Formats: sequence, C-alpha cells, structure tokens
Amino acid sequence: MATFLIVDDAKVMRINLKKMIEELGHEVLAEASTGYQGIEAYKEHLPDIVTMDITMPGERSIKDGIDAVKGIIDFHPAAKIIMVTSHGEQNKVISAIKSGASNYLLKPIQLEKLEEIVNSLLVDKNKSEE
Amino acid sequence: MELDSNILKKLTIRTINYLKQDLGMNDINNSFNIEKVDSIKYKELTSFISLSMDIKGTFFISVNNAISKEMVENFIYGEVSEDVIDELASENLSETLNVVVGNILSEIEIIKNGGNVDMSTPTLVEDNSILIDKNYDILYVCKIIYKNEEIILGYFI
Repeated sequence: MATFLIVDDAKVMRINLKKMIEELGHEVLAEASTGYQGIEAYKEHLPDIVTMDITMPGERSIKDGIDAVKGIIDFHPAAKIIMVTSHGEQNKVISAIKSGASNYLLKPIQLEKLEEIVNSLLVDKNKSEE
Repeated sequence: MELDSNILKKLTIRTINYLKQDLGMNDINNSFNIEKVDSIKYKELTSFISLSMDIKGTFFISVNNAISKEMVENFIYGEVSEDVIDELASENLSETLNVVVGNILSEIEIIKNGGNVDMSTPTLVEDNSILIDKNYDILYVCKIIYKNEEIILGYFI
C-alpha cells in the first residue's frame, strides 16, 4: 500500500481521485486545493506519491501546479509526482516533467491507467530504496 | 488557419464521445448542427474556458440543472450521495469542459504544427437569462440532444 497527497482545485476531482486511489488499495493522507497548500501538505505528511493538477489558482508565490512541483522537488528531490492534465497544456506537461514530475495522467482518468502509473512509480521507489 | 466552426465540430464530437463512453449517457443523440448566431440564451448552468497564445477564443457548455446532476453522478467513481451530487454539479460541468477542450487541442492544426496554447481556469455562470449579444466577431453554437433536453456548446472570439 502507498500513501498519497491529492492536489487539485476542483473538489469533484479530489473526491473522484480519492475513490479511485482507495479502490486500488492505497491511502490518501491529505488533499490540497492550491499549489502552495500542496507543498505545505507534502512537508507535513511525506506521502509516497502526489497527484498534481496543472492549472490551479495561484497562492503566494506558487502560481500553478508546475511551481508546486518545483517546491516539492526542492524539498525532497526523490518525490514521486504524477501530473494530471487534459493534455491541452502539453507545453506545461513538458515543463512539469523537466521540473521533476515523474509522469502524467490524462483526463478523463481511467482506473487501469492510474494503477499502471502508480505501480511503475512504486517499483522505481522500491529499487531506489534497496 | 483552421475554420472556427471546425474547432467547434471537434469539440462537439469529443463531448458526445465523452458523455457516452466515460459518463455512460448513452441516450445522447449523435446528430448535431453548427450555427453562426448573433445571440444565445444560456441554460441554467454555463461554464467558460478561454484560450490564449496561438489560439484565441472562448468555449462554453450550457446545460440545465438535471443534466448537470446526472453528469456528476456518472463522473464520480463508485457510489455518491445526493448531497455530494447537489454540491458538485456546477463544478463538475467546468471539469467536463476542461477535459473535452483539453482533449481536442492537440487535434487543432496550429497546435499540431508546434503552436502553444494556454487554457484559463473555467468560470461558471448560474443564470439562464444571460444573452450573448453582438459583442463578438464570431459566435458559433451547437446543440446536442439528451433525453429531449438541449446541451449547448459554443465558441466565440
């Protein structure tokens, strides 16, 4: 079982992702609705995996999900972050990956695809801990 | 430059597929007609997303409350309570627009050729009396039918 932080400004997305993550047998430790809150929640809970929306309202100096990725990676370079996108923001996905995100998940989210990405990240995490 | 009506056609086809395949709303009628209009009367809930950089314009989706509730009920994985449906119906309409607009952008010629686009966060209007008048250069709308009710999709610049 892995632990998760969900960062998304849309409550409907947070609820949906939480249900899917729990269906896969994992635990959601915390949710956040801005990138800034996401960084703070990461530092407090240290989840195994973060799901991160790209376009969110700015708070303080963190204007979107890409800034939040940078903030989390600065704090913990080995953090595992999955960007969640509808793909229209392809340039932003590339920017997020360059900033340290591990992978991305296309909306509408399919349970099987979420499981595939999570399992690959957990394999990577276990290898790096050995 | 790709015709603006063709962009709305892509959005309409993607929306029909999304509602059928991802939300299980199989009673959606596949036929649709795109019109250039001067004004439009919104349904009870309308969500807008604006594009900037190499594509400029605003997409919207407009539905009545009953359809928006059915959409959120079908969107959320597993069982969902009536309270949650009522609370999240309007937000889910914005999420639906975000998904379908995002999904079609990579099919638009200017983006295929390396162009960039920025999508705004969605904005929501809960007022069925608002009319778009002649304030825009181009206003296309498309109405799709679900259980005898209209779902209106639009694009204006």
